[in-house]
Amino acid sequence: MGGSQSVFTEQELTDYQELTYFTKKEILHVFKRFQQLNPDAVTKDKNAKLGKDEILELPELKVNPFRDRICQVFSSSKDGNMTFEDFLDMMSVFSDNAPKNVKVEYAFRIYDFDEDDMISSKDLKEVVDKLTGEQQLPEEDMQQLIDNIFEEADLDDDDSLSFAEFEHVISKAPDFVNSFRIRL
Amino acid sequence: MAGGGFHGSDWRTGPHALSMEGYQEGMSRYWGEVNPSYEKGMDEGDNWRREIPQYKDERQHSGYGGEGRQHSGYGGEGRQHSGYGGDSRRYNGYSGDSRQYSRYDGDGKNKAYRDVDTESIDLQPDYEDLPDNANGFHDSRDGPGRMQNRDIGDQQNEYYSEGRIPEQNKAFDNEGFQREDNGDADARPEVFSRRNRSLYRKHSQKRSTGVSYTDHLQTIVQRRKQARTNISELGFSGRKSVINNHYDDLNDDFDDRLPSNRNKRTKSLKNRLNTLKHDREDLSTHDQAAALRDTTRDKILSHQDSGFGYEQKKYQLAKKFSSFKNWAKSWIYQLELWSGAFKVIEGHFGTSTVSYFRFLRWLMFLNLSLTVFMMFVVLVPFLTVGVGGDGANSFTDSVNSCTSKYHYEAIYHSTNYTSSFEVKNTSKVSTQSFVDVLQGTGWMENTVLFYGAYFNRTTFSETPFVYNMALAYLCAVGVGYLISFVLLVKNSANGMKESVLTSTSGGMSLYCNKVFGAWDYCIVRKKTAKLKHKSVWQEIQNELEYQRLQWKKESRTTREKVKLYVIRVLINLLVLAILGGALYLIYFTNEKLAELQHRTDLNKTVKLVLEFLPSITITLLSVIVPTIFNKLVTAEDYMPAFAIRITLIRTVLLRLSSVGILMISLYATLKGLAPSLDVSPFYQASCGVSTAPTNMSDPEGNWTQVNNETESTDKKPNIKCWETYVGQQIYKLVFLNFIVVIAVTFVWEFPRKLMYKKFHKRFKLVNLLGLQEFDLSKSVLDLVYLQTLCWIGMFFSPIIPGMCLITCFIFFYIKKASLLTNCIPTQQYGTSKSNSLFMMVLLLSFFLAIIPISYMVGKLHPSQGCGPFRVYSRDNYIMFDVVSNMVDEWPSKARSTFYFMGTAGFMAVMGLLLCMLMYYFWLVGQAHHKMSKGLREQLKVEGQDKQFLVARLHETFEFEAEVSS
Repeated sequence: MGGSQSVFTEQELTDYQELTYFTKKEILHVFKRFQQLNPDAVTKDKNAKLGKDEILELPELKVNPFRDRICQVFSSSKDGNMTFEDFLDMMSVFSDNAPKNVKVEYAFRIYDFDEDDMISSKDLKEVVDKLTGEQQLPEEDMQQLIDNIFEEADLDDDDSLSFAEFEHVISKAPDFVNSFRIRL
Repeated sequence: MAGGGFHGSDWRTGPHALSMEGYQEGMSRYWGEVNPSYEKGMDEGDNWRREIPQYKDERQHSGYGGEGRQHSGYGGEGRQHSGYGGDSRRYNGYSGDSRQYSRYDGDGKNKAYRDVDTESIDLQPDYEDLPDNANGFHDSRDGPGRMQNRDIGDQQNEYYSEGRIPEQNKAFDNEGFQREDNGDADARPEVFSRRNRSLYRKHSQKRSTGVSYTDHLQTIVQRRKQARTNISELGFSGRKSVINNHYDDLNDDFDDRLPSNRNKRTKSLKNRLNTLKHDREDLSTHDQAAALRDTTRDKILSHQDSGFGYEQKKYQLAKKFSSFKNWAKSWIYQLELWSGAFKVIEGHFGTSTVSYFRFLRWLMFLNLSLTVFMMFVVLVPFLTVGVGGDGANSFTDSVNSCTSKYHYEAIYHSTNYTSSFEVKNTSKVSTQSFVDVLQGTGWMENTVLFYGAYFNRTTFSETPFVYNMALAYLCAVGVGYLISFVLLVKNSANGMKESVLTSTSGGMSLYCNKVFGAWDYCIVRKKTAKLKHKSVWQEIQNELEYQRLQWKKESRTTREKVKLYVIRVLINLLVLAILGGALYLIYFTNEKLAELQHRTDLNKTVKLVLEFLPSITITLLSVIVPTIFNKLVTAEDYMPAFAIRITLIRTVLLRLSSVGILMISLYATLKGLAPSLDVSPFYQASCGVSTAPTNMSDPEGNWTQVNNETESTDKKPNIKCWETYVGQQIYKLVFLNFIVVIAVTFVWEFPRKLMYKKFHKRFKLVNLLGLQEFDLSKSVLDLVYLQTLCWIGMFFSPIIPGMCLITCFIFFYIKKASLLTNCIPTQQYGTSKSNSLFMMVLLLSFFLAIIPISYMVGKLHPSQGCGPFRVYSRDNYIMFDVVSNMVDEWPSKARSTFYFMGTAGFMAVMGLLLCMLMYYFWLVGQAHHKMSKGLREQLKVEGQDKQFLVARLHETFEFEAEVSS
């Protein structure tokens, strides 16, 4: 711990603690994990910006079907590269302590592939495709599934989910909070 | 930057005149009350603005003379407004919206900004007609050229350097500066405006080609959202001081109530950090003063008395508290047990498997609290309060035999009891002591491990001190149950809340749950990820298949239906038969055990097996029967989720009823014991007290232990202390459960894995057997069973919670090791459902455990030869008499209150009250349900309205396009 403790000033840690859902110790832990992704660069400069490929070395992201979107959403430069702050932000959102509404908001952004602030049927199709991986759903199954989802969630019948609709339907999807997290 | 001129023109010509009126209104209201010191601040803010080269540039571009710089100060906003200036020209309704946003913008930040803001806007359209009360401050800007402005600025700089300006103004400069800095540094507005414009262009192209209404709708919604994002991002980039921070929060809350602002995005950490840094850097006395001034002005502005000092105090307190919470959290984080192990398991097997381990940990902590409690209330006092000087561990030394008849009886029986197993103990070979450990007999029997050893301890000094062990014992067990109950309810309430929420508002959204909650973000292993992909695919397919089946269900012929129902009925009957058979087997073995136990013609090994017979039966049944149930359910053709549930219910039924039948058979065995010898003649003889002969025989059979003399002729077993006997039975079960789990792991699971690894390519049979899957429901039921035993056994053997604690601890590591090496991941349960289900099962088993215990405390006579209750206070003594004896010593008022609470009248009234309360809450629930239904309807109607409006708009476009062409 001693090594990484000196990386941040007490002030910085307090700031981070105030702005995330982590305690100071957890923040240092997050930093350790960040450091593991590229020890050389991060040791040299703690604010180093790691490339998307390096970020995706994080085991949880490596196998995550939405890894590209996650990087995109949390990258402050919007190109998938991340600084430590972005990384910390990401881990904070995925942490156990993050409230549900924050998680829902980021999930919405992750699943909104074309970034039009609406989850359209195209987005949904992409989500399902990524979820099923190698196995693909047949076309009519996909259509049936999407119809079902809209039936459940699309309250104003515009064939896409707005954030409010998404938030509402997530409140009725109890598995979401349990699955949308990455443990430190 | 180059866009400045363009925007300028937009400002003037755009339909924003409308919104500007709004600003002016605000303006004039403000100017009526503004205080002069503030104006100076304004000027300096201005001054700062000029120092930044960017702004000079912009001024040159703007071509708007004096206003240029004000404009540029809010360049971001200006541009942004122009961004949808184009829109609002088309959609009048929308321009109304934008006004609202602007207002929000002003509110969201420091009031001072708003004033600058409104002022700058005011200048633009009515440049010539500046109101007269725009005094010297305005004059300085009205000047024809920038030079003059600068001069004034310089003058003010001098003024400033002379130190005549109050300190606060300096702070205000900072504010002004930063505000602008943020506005420009982001350079985002430009991007947005460009995007908006391009959207607009696209839109007009689309219009000419004639697109569908929904397309239009989407564009509008998109734009609206963008605008909102822009504003919310800009509005909060200003510096916040400590106090204003608080006010901002208030404003935030207020504005969140507007539906249009609800979707404000959370800013990225970087932004938040910037904001925070600004907060801190500027946090000096100046800022405090500035903030104070601002808030005072706000007060004047809003004609409100807000308790400023109080608010600040409250805020500080809250801050202190949160820092304390953080500190505590970091400690707890360190203390959190097994979090690393959880992570590993989660990564390999997903969250549903981890829920088993969480449950295990929870049970461990429950048992820990029970153990600690039992130890401190029962064990520690018992061991520390000495008996006389020698500390002999004997009841007979501690009391005077002639105090009363009951004392004499107790001593008589106790001597009888201890001497009986001293005889047994002396005839020991060394191997026997190991068997004793397994069974809890022999030397273990009369230790603090079991109920029998406890008694009221007295010190024989001048002031005899009696630790009322009977009361303490009863209280310890009672409070132990209470702790368990509270923890249980608290834990299961969480799950209940979720499930109620989902069930009342139109049920769980099945498909959304399947899709949006499908991926487990904790997974780290490639293999698991692959499996997860597959299982998600499988689940979705199953669900869709099932839906199609439902559609087709109507087409099922009568014949098929009849066949299915017959099968189901038959299988249910079969299940009942199996259950009945299993229960009878348990009962039978218990009976046999009691019968064979005291036969002397048996081999030692046979005897040992016999001792364990009931325990072995229960354990074996709990292994075999669930597998049969699992196979049976497939024939019943239920839908998958229901099949899992019904198997679980059947297994729970088996487990709990086997515990129940064990209790019943124990009861039956012990009830038939011979009545104890009437010792009153001995008492009279030895103590020389003459009492009226009392009738010791009891209508429902006497629960005191048998006498030596009667035993020889009796067929029934020689049980001197039935509480300890029950304790031993449960001790054996707990012990066996522990051994079986370890044995199954090392003798079955591990070899199976090895076998599969070595032979799965060569032998088909081995391949068919496959690898072990982690059976979540079975493992959980094992734990529930263990805990039920713990609750029942707690009374008879205070050490059992400790045993369960150790068992849980060891289980964790064994299960984890077995899981990681032997098992392959499975997807059986929805994570969310399982946890609340476990809790419900546990709650059920809790009630099952306390029913016999409370019956015993309230109805049965404790042994006179052992235990803390051995000294009776009356004939037909029950354990609960300890409490009523204590109450009798209370003052009469308290006593009568206590007894009143036990009367039927009181109970009836309480019951009625509870029923009414329940009815009330049920009604409230119904009302909420109705309301949510109504709101949903309304939402639908509004969606239709929206579509209708878009259709009208579209028509208008068409019309316009026609006219213009």
